[in-house]
Amino acid sequence: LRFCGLKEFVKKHDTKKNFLRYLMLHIPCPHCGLRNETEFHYGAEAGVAYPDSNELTDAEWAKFLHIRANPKGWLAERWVHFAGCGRWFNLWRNTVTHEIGPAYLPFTTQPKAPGLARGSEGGAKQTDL
Amino acid sequence: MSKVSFSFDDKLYDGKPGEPMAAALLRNGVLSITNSTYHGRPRCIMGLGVEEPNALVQLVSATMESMLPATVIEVASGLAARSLTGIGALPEAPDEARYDKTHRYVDTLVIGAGLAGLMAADEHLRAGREVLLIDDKGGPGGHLRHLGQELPSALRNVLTHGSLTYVSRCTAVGLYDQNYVVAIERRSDHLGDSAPATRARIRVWHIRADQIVLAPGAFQRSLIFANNDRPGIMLSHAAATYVALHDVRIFRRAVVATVDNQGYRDALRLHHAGVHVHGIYDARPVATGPSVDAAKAEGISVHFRSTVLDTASNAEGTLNSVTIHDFNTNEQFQTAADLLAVSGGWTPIVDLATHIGIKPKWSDEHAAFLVRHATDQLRTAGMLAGDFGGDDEPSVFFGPALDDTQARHAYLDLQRDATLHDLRRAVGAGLSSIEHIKRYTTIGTAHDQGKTSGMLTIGALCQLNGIAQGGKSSVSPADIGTLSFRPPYVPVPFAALAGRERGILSDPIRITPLHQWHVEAGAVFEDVGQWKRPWYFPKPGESLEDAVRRECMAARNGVAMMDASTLGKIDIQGPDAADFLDRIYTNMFSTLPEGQCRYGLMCKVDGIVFDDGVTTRLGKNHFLMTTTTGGAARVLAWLEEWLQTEWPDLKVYCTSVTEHISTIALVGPKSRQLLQELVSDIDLAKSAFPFMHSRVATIDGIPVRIARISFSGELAFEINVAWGYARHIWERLWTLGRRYDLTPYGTETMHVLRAEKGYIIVGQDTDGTQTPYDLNMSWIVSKKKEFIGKRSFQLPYLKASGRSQLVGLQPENDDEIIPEGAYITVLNGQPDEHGKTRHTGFVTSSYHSPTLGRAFALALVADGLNRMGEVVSVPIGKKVLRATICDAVFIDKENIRRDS
Repeated sequence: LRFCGLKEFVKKHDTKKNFLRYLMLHIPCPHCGLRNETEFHYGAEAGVAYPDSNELTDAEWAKFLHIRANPKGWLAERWVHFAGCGRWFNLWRNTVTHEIGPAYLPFTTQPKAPGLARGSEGGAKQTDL
Repeated sequence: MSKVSFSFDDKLYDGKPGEPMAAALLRNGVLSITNSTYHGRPRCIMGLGVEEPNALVQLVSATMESMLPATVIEVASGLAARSLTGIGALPEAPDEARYDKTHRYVDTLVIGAGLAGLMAADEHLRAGREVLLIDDKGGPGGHLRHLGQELPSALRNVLTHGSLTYVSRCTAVGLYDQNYVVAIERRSDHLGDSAPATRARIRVWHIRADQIVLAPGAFQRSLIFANNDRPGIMLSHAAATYVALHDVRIFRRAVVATVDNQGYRDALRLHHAGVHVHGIYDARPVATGPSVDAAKAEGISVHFRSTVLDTASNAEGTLNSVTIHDFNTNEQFQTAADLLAVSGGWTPIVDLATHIGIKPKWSDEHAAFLVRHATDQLRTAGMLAGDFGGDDEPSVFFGPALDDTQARHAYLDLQRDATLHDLRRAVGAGLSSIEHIKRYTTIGTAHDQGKTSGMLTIGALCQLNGIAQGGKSSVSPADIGTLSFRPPYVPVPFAALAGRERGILSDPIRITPLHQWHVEAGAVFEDVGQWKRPWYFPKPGESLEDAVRRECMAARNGVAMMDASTLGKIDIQGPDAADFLDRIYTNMFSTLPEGQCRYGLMCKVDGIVFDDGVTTRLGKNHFLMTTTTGGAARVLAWLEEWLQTEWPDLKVYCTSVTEHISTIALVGPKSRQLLQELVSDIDLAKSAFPFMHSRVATIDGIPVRIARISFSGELAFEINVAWGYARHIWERLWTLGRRYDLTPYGTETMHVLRAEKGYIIVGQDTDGTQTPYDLNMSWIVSKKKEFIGKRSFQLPYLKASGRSQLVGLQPENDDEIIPEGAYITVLNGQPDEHGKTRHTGFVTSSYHSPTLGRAFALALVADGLNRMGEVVSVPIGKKVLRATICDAVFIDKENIRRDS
């Protein structure tokens, strides 16, 4: 059988370097490269810092505990490569099309959301604290 | 061609290798295959492939796979099958066949090796792409195979192209986001006896393709008329193919009912094969085209504006006459026929496209839902895209008007025995959406998932909705839309999905270094997560209760030992390790002196208890954390999450050492005396080695770390040793311990001992809603520092009264062990203000205590900590037990034994 492996496949088809539209339920781990989605765990919205809890009212604290952005479209999310390197990272994902955007490490500059493509009338909003 | 014999319902028949079993059965005169599931009506083969609604069989083989249509089973030597009435039976014996899976990345995936698929493959090959071509039939060609025609020579070259891989008998069952496809390939059944034993029976393909071409083709559909299910009524393309290609010679006189030119083509094939075609009854007012002209030229009588209304059968239930309705004259007449070939139009296979949410669009011109989709990633081709060939001209017609009596036997879904009458009832009940009707009538929910019934139902619904909206039908299928199809496209055996991960390979088995000793000692094991742990160590003739009583008494009065190697262990190092643990645990660890241990509780951010365990400070910047056996991976992930995503400035490193360090718990009043015989380099005396201290020592020159940690409430020593030395230490203890009647014990005794002391198991004695306060552990919550979850304790709902809290429970009857999980109500279950007897809690742990000589339990009870002494009821079936709420510590409240 004449088939290429994943690496070769990506090299061949990844002409748009900004994000991979054909990830096909693969996630680009910043440390290990493209891996099957089943190796990862989801960690909800990215960029929600643990607040100084003593400064917050009960309502604000409850909001931090329980409320996260849930836009229709692109959202920056936390993921962990649980069955691989065990590292956490952030990832743009389109909640409508399931397109996977670029991944980036925590505490690094967030890349721009991928072009507001199909079905992405929502946006990436940070939780307002 | 060579002949082989196969068996069907225990009778032997001849067939040609590779032909459909359905064809061989028909040639042998087997028309009725089975009776229908609900109405018990005889049914015959109707179709050509996976759309077949009637001819379901079960293989009589090692695999015993059931619910396979006889139309897709290929005849091979050794084939044996039996008929099914719609419900398959699972075999008793395990399926020993092999199943495997493969992953592929390709430039282009073409689904369907008919003309359209082959042409698409050709185009992509010319563009220099690697192409994977899959098709569910035994060979390429699509409908050309049914016509017995060769591939055009240009397309034959496609199959031998170096960049093409063609996989036959491979059915795409699911299309997922971003061009991910799952397909199943049947690799061995068609080889019969000669299949290599090592070959996987089914291979599951996980395919990721840069581009996909969907060219799945179409199914022919039937028409709705009374008694449209009798043996002898077939889809016209199937009837013509069985007769013309497979030498089926059982039909003498055929009637063709059609709405398109396909009926004419099939009438011609029947005619040429020697079947007398009595007439073609065409619902259209007029028809033109080469096939119409050819039929007329052959002298076949053609009738327009007429269709079949009803049928009749002989005593065996097979077709013997057809009632025709002539719309020109509104007259009806009967004519004899043993074959009614029906061509109700084509239904392109939209299933895969709808898997990813593409909505098929209705085309009046094609009388079909089509998917004309062309993006960079996915394109449709062939009949699915509306390429029906030049000579079809279907009309949008699903059947004549039927009265109520006729509608009761006008079948829409043959597998579900759902009729036009059932549909009318659904519409009469106020349903109009096709999805609601599907659920109400069960149409489209059987094995074939509506492959033949879906479009008929939509057609009938058009008529009914038209009538419901007052007057002539102006409702088009476009207004109703098609059913949503979900994966899998055809049934997939669970064995195929499981692949090699079955039995012992389904999940890793983890064993401790002492496992073999336990086996030799006759331990009974229980599964704790992936671990095999000794449950109890019965002596000959002992029951679980006997053994646990003996083991408990040894631990409380003598000395006993347990393999605690499965405890989760995490090595935590770094200059900020102490600070880190302060943030993780509710209690303080930075103040813990080196060489000492402390029990810790960790909460999630919401203040709910998450895990517990004892952590030992090995050095200034070095801790060894233990977790619950089941929580080890979870806790490590939790620590890593905080270090990586919130506190990257902390210099802390966490390493799982669960399987580096084995732990032996030596428990009981005589444990010190026994252990001191082995350990000469440290003093084990109470004054020299107090409770919750840890010491490095050697046993036979082997370095060990001994800690005075107790999960039983007794004087106890936990001996930590490198995994590989554990058995030596264990056996040394065992040999020396004979004089002390040293008793090995398992997890059941461990549970009794810990429960007697009110020591919780997170996840058993908690249900994911308890704070440390609810567990009566306010002493462990530090007021002096910040930690995860602390802020949440201030939230009103965590401070409110009525929270479910951990208490002890003393059954009224000393011998009555209340089942774990039992509901607790207030005494005698007095109704509340709503007149209901509401439960007030449940039992989490319940045992007989050999030490106390009575049953006892732990329970989560609403506001339990404020209800000490209250008598509650525990209804068990018709019995109502009584118990008193009490403190959760049943033995040695003062910890004299533990600290001795």
